[in-house]
Amino acid sequence: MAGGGEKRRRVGGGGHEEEEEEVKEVDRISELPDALRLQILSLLPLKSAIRTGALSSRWRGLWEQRWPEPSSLRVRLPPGAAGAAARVEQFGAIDRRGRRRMDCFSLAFHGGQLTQPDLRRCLDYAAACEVEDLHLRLDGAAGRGSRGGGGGATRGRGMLTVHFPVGSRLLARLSVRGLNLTAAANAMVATLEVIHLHSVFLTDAALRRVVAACPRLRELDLRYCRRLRRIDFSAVGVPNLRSFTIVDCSRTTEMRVPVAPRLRSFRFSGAFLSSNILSGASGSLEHLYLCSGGPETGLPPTNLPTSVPRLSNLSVLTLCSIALQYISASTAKDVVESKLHSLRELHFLMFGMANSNLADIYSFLKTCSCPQLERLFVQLPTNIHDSFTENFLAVAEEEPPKGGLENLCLAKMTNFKGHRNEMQLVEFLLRKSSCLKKLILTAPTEDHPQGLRKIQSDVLPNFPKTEILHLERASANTQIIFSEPDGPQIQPLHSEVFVRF
Amino acid sequence: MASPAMVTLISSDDARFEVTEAAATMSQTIRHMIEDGCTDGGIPLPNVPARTLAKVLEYCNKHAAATAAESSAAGGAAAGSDSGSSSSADSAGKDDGVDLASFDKAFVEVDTDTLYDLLLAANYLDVKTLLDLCCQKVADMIRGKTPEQIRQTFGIKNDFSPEEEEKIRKENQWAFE
Repeated sequence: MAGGGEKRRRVGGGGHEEEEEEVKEVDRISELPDALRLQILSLLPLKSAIRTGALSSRWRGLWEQRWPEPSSLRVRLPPGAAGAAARVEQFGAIDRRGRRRMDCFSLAFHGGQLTQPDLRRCLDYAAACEVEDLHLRLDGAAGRGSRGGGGGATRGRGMLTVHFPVGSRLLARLSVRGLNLTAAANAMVATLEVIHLHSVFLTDAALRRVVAACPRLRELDLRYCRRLRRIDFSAVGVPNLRSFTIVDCSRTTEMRVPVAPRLRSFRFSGAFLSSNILSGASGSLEHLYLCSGGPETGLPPTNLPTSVPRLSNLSVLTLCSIALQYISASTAKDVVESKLHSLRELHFLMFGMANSNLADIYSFLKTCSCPQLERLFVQLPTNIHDSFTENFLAVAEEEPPKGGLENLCLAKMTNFKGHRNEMQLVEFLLRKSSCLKKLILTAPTEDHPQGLRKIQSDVLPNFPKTEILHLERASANTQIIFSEPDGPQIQPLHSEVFVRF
Repeated sequence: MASPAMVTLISSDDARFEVTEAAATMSQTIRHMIEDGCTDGGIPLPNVPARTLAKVLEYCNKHAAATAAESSAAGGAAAGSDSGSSSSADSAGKDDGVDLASFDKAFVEVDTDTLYDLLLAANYLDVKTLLDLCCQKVADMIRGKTPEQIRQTFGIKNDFSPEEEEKIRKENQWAFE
């Protein structure tokens, strides 16, 4: 073929190819005209396009211009009368923009502002623009955690419905809040990696179908989805799930995730339930957050906390006092020896700080030795009365552990009030941590929602600063600090706490 | 059959290339120059060095020839009324497509410097399919990589402070996980 090929070069400068440019270390790709770089960016999935923004200052934000203006559309309808005017204007903008490629479409509105056909129209538009990042949010009534007059479990009256899949061929990220969600069987959304559902009314079966449709799902975040009862991925599988968060899906009583080979982060807040997820992911799990969602009466059967000592790859662990209670109860029964070899950071959320709570902390540190632990955070309760009780009966107290804090360099206790058990913990930490550089103790200062009074450190009559400064220390270099240090706050990695204390 | 019309192209470093008009006019820029009648004594292309022009013409020759083969095959099929010839023309066309795709794939297996030269030349000469091919190649080299891997692939120097980079990542955290 291609018979014309041989004669293409007749005479060159000297018959050999001349080197046009000397080899030099220049960043030629960044030198390309914007039009060419934008054309390249337009061939990338959104996720890769966003990553180019972190390459260098010459790439910062360039990806945002890869589609015709505006390459992302955020429709937000304010409440009340202004909403109607905004609706006319913003829907007009959609019509003017036309159906061209788009990165992100977000729609936020209040109850009664949109009808089902309006929502349908927006979703069709987003699908026609092959949107990759889609956010749908009903503000107001169905907001955070509200049970909305009995609508907690059943489909809210007049609530709009999103049907999954939403139509865009390239969808990578979906976030829905305050809407019903139904799902088609046998759908396939091969590009979808991130799903966030907040106050969404969907059935167990709908959730299963959504998960089954997304083989590349990496991140699943379910909050206040109060229609869910049984989260069961046994049949559908989650081969690529990296991060799974469940917050206060309060009717859920069981969770079956037998295999989660890539799960790195699991965060659970709410009434503990029975689940096999921690055995399904025991090899890969690095971050674990378990919080029972607040003080509860009675302990329902759960196996979540008791699996913790077996998770040998954990690097960051957050446990509430109720989880600690489960762990110490189970280790009292059978002797469990466990080493959390990789644990770097430990965070306790204490709903109470009675003698038994302190005993649970000691028991945990004894059962699970954490040779690499560097940072310890203890969030204390905000109760005003000291819950220490004199031990009048001859009951054996839990002895503090002997060792295990050799690498601890930072300890921080918040809501510190100087109560007896808090002091004991401080004393213990100072005595045992031979490398401790900083111990930070901060008094509760926030206004608390549950009728708790605001407490300032200076109004705490017995805040025993002097006493603490004179405690025996294993390391002469330990600095004791009674306020939040200047500069960026020292925060635990799991600083997003889902329950208010 | 008359020999095909030829034109002469002159690279920025004065190398002369004689090619068929069909191959040359894959470039919209050259097509317009021919239409405007500025072909006497060769068409100067002051933005394209010989090395790159040779490579671009390799692409144009291949594609122009494939297009010619395709249209003659289609013509033959239309002329021949028996069913046998049409099926053979079909399969020839298909082979051509496969052949061209593998040619394209191999064509952009080059070092990044050559790839940038081709991008700039295809852009200047306005050879749309070649420009698309090169852009796709660069996109494929970016896709799925971390920023650090992309920087390494293309020799991009990170001029952000750690805080700035962290801020950018935070803005779209999900894309970096």
